[in-house]
Amino acid sequence: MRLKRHQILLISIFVLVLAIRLYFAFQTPNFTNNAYFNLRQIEHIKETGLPLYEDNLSYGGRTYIFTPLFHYILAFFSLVLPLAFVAKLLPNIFAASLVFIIYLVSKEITKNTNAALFASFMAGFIPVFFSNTINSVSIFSLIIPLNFLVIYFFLKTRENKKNVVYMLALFFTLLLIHPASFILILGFLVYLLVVELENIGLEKWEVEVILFFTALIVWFNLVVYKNAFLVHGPNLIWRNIPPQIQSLYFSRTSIAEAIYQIGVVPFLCGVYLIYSYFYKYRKKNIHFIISFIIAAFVLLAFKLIEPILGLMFLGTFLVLLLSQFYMNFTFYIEKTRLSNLKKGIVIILIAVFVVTSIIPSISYASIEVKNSVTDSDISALAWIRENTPKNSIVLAPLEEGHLITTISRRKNVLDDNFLLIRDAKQRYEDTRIIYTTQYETNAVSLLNQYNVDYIYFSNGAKKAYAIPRMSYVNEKKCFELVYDRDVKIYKTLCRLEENK
Amino acid sequence: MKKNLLNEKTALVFVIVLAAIVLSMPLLFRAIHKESSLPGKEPYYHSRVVEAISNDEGPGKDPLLVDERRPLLISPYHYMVSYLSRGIDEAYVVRFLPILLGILSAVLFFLMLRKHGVSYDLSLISVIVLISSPNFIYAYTLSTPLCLILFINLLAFFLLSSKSKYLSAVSILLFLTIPFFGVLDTVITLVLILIYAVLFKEKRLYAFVIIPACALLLTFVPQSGLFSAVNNPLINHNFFGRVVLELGSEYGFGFFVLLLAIIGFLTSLKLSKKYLLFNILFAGLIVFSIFFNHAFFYLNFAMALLVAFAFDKFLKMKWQISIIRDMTLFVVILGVLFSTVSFISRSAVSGPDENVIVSLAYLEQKQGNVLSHYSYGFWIESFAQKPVLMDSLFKGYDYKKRAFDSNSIYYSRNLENTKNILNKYEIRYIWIHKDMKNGLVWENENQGLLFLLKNSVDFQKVYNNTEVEIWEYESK
Repeated sequence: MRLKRHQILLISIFVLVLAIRLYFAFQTPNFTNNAYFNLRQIEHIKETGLPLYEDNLSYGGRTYIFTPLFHYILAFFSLVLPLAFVAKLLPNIFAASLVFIIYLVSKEITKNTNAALFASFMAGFIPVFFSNTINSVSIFSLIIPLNFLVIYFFLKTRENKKNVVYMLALFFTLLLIHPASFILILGFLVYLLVVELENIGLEKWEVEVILFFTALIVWFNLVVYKNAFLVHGPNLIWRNIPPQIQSLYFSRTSIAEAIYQIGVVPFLCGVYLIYSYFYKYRKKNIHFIISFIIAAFVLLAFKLIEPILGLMFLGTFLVLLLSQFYMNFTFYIEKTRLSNLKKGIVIILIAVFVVTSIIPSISYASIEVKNSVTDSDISALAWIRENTPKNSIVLAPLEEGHLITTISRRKNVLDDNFLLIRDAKQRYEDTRIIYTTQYETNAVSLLNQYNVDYIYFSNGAKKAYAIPRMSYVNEKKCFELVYDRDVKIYKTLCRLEENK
Repeated sequence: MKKNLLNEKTALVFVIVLAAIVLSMPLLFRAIHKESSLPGKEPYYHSRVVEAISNDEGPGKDPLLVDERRPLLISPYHYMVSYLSRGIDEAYVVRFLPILLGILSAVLFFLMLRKHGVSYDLSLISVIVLISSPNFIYAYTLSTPLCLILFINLLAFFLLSSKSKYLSAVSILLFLTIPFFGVLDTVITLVLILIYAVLFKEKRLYAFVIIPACALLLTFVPQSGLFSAVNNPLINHNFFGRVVLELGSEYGFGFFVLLLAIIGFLTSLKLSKKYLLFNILFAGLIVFSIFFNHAFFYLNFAMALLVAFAFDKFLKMKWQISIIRDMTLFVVILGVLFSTVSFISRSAVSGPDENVIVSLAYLEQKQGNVLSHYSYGFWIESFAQKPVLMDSLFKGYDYKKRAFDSNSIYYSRNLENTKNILNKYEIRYIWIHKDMKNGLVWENENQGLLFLLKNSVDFQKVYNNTEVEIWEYESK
């Protein structure tokens, strides 16, 4: 069967995106810090067939709550291929598949092949999505494409109600991967509102499907996160992330930075299109996409979602709008005197996109790869595993907590999984004090409180706390330097006691 | 003529059997886990009250609160249990009386709905929702006065609504027992009677008798109160935390039930005027519930009917995609049942297990006052017969001061301060349940008092099992 021109182009885009991704991913044998929780879960599934829910290492002992389908998928493939290879390859394949999905959705919206191809090319290089799914074994690499696949089948259900079965199957799958599917539901609910307000014409089956999805996701999350609801109450929405960290997440991303991470071209074109379709034109499919943009924006504005995830969704939805923009723009050009220059203008547009999206994607990807765990970190963590008692507690900064449990196989004091941890805020603050205080007594008192045996002081810790060294550790009475290379590891020796 | 799912008699049998099964489940689960003690904490306080009555101690003072002699809170329920225990083993009475009252309450609710013109299907669905509601299970599985007060209310209203003047007159006698249960229940009942009388003119005469009589009685009877369902003043719940079961509420409603009740309320507004009564009752109870968690138990009956309205609407709606209809109904039913199952399993493990009882038996042999988290107060009083610093009855003493002092002991590493407070209340033993170390009081092993216990010679661990530690304090 001969492939058509647009199919060849589409496959070429996919291959290009995947190739660039894999090029960066395989530049280092290691992963970024936040990959290691997932890696540990995958290893555990490989060994025992079940996820690790009761962990005696994280926070010195705790229970995890999460849905493990993503980990099972990677574990399955790692039965025949090395885990490190699978963890590099599969997430990048999932992420690159967004190219096909955006093509399908764009084609459904615009009924225009060139517009769909243009959008699919853009989708391959959304900077925030590109960089954060390259080397981090990120669940978002699968969540984002699946969400858009659900949207595709929702649109297809208008033509044929049998497509609802595929939509249901995908939605169930999403539920088993990550609770981020609530963004989809919020988008659907905003869509109901928008369509009613704009009087565009809501079909009954749309209401039925959306109400069902809402009921299902609420029930499912109530069941899975039941204990977390009991412990954290409504604060579960913020995943019990300590306020200091929440404000850090949001303060790191200015509006200019956010636009840069989404892509300047999709952002500007998206804003223009939203304005046009709210005030001038009416097209149900465009209002449908705009509803999701509104939902993502509201979640970001009210800090109900972590910035990276919100920007990924926002960026991808704006790319969908871009396909409509492309179609409108090229039709407009054809009617003007510049119709002869249409190809040139499109090339200029692509060039602008290359400069504002592809280059930033590559740049961010390079930074991500550089921020991966280094070989010296791995050596230090391996040293801990081989030279310390099995029940030792190792203090590390928040970002490196999972390295302690996954590579060193030792207990940590803190990591970035905060659900069911009642004193997360206190631990974060105490860890910061331990690293930054100038007073030995303060540090020893806190170290005693958490029964810390070793302090892990890496370049990551220096960067996290903006310190070149720890002030008090030269006091050999209480701290012994047991590992001294790029990373320093100190053994704690002292204990404070009350006067009797 | 539309066929009903079951005929009326079969429906009644079904209601009885369903109520019996659901209400027996917590006890059954405990039996399967070989736990013979009662579930919950509050029943243990009521057991002591019954024991005092049986020992002819009457409405006396409670000796088991440190330094205080607050009155025992007695209600007709305690007299009823005491009386029945003369012929039947008290262990059976406290377990099966609430269940029996629950079954009768479910039947009465069904009959009342039918009597007031609610359709057969709606009545049946309402009762099923009621029986599976956590509030209903709580009220009719734990041995507390709540099961009797709700039953009396239902029976009294059922008789009041009867066409027979004789039966309506009997309802007056029943209503006159309400003041003996406490102010809150009396006020709620009188408001319900008032609303009923406004809508049913022929019952106004009875209301004119009942309301003043109850109000008068209230001023003379010794005050009791169902303290358990009053807002715990020491826990600062936000609105959702109080109302929504999944967000930590002890007596609230499941999320899906709330959602369906809202849909049902909106649906009922469009229906005929005969549902106006329920809408007004519902609104009135909502107002009470804002201030008193106790009103949730009354509100529950109205919620059940509203949820039934919602289900009825779902079933009668025309759906474009049948698979979506089926799956939506399935998920909604699962959502409602989830809170039931969740509550039953929580309830089944809420009682003292073997380790707790054995530790308290050890403590019974010792002399001295006991410090522990207030939620364990009733267990310590009941099993160990020892005075506690605080329990869950926030009446008759300055609980805020005691809570402050307790927290000072729990969270301070200052030995002198801690000893001063312990000496002030003559505390001899500290009873620590493992849940207290898992977030109920402390977050980690070296926090506050835990640090002092390990490092000070004034404290000695005298008992230890997998659930409980007991430390003896002797100032040196």
